[in-house]
Amino acid sequence: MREDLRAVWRFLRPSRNPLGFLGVVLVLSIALCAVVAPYVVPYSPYKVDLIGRLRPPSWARPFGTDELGRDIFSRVLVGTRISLQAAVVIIGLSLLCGTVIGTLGALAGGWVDDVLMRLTDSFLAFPYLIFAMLVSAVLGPSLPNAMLAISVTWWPWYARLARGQILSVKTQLYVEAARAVGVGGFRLFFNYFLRNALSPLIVQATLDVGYAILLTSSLSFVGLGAQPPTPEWGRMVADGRQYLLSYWWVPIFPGLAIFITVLGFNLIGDAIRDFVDPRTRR
Amino acid sequence: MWAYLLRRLGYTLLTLWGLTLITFVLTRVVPGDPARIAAGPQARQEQVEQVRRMYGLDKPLWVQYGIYMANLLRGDFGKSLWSKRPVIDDLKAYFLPTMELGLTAGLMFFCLGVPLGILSAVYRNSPLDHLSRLFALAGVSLPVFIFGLVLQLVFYKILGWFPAGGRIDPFIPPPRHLTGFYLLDSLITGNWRALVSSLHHIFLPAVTLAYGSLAVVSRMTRASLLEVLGQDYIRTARAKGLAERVVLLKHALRNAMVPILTITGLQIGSLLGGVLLVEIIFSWPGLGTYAYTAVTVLDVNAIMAITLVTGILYTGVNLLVDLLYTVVDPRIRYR
Repeated sequence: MREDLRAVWRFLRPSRNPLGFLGVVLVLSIALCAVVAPYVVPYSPYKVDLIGRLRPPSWARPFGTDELGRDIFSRVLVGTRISLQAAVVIIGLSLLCGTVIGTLGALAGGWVDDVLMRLTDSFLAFPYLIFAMLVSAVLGPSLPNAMLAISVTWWPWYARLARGQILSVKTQLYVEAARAVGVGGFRLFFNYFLRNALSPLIVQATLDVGYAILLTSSLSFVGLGAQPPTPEWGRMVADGRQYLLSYWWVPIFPGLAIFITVLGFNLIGDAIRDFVDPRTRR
Repeated sequence: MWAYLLRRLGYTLLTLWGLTLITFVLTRVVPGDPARIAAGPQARQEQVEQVRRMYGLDKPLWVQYGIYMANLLRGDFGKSLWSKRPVIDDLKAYFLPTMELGLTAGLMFFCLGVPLGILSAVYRNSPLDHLSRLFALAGVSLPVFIFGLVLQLVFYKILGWFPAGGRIDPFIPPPRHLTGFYLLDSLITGNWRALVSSLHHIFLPAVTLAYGSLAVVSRMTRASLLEVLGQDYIRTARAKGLAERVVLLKHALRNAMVPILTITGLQIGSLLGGVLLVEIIFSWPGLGTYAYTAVTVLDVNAIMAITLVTGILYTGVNLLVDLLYTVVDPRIRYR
């Protein structure tokens, strides 16, 4: 384990992989923000101040104030936690659901596998943003419903991956050996199948955090995610959009926050992909 | 070849049937009272009852599914709560502008993404390659709605080069309706003023929409080409003394094309989602603007119709991509 970490570190050294290193720095800072933001923000993210509304960025208010005079810097910082939490829940739910269905298909085989995979294909045939819009419109607009809606559109990717993994583990010699010495049932499943199939799934899930944030903010942008006054980034961009041409800072700073967060995760993802692929490992 | 085609068509039909099943479950089974959902949150009790009778929502589920499918096959998606017209009429009106924007963006990302990927692969690990990598990663990380706002701010507000929104200048009459695509119609009828104005209006939204996909396609082209360039037959082609251009474009690119086509097909899906957001930003009178209004009044009939139509479109594009494989790579035909 320590060796692995050391190898990852060597690979991510700033001199060798500057973009990957930048990604690590960005994500660590964002994670730190998510943890400490509520305790260190200079102003309450909800405090309305109509006299001080739409003030441009200054030393006291680095990101300016919005249409209700709320401090945008504080709102963006507090929004970090909301976005990360949403992403983790979405990925967790999709991973769980996808792994269960994919594993079931791979282990059962035959018609069960056929039915499950055709169902998975049908889910994948919807453009996911539009499908998530339909699901959250049916469930009603709120952040938890948006998270559920995105998970509904997302699990098929993990189901496919999990199925492929289990199918390849199934044919391994060590599984045959375990069966031969009498390992079966749950022990075979958890210790042999799941353990060996899980790591690519977890890598993929980590890479997907950025996209989950992107999709959540997109749903909030069309009004189907977080509701006011929640300081969710997508919602803040949507509410500030009408002020763009005269008070650009209102939608642009929350937008930048989304961009930098997603970029951080994608930079790490790109580096991990290179690391895992022996052809690009150099 | 025919067996492959038939099998592929069979799968497509199954997927399409799956789409209708999923939207049925979502709109008719998941909600506690589907009639209330279909009638809208503002509907009075007697309106809800009317919708319940009209769509047979008081009947057993399998009968409901029969009615639902029969309606879909006739193109009856119900009434839009917002426009008060049949959803299918709305779709007809809003579909073509969306297609025009989507196709323009698609053409843009494919025609720029592939050459950019080739350049990255040829000049691998050069500053150009690193720059293209950063450009690509920024492209997939930048939400279209933010990129659109930034473009609007820079090119409309600060520089004043492009209009902020719309499809054509309100003072210029739209071209005569032939295809419904302003660009094509004005080109065919020789209406240059309308052509210039439509080009002017479509540029920013199309760039906004294309950027993310351009990034993905250029990265895929680079990766796929690099893999092919390491093959023996490329060395052979070079050893024969063929010009580097011929080796690259004729021998390498064609073999690298299957993954590029796959990712292009997949990108159409994200384009269909992204186009909705871009239309909202640039007030483009298409399905996105329609969906946005539908969402604000929770018009489930309209959203369901858009979901189904885009799902069908997406499935069709993927079928087309699969068929294109057999053209690009004849080996696939015999599998």
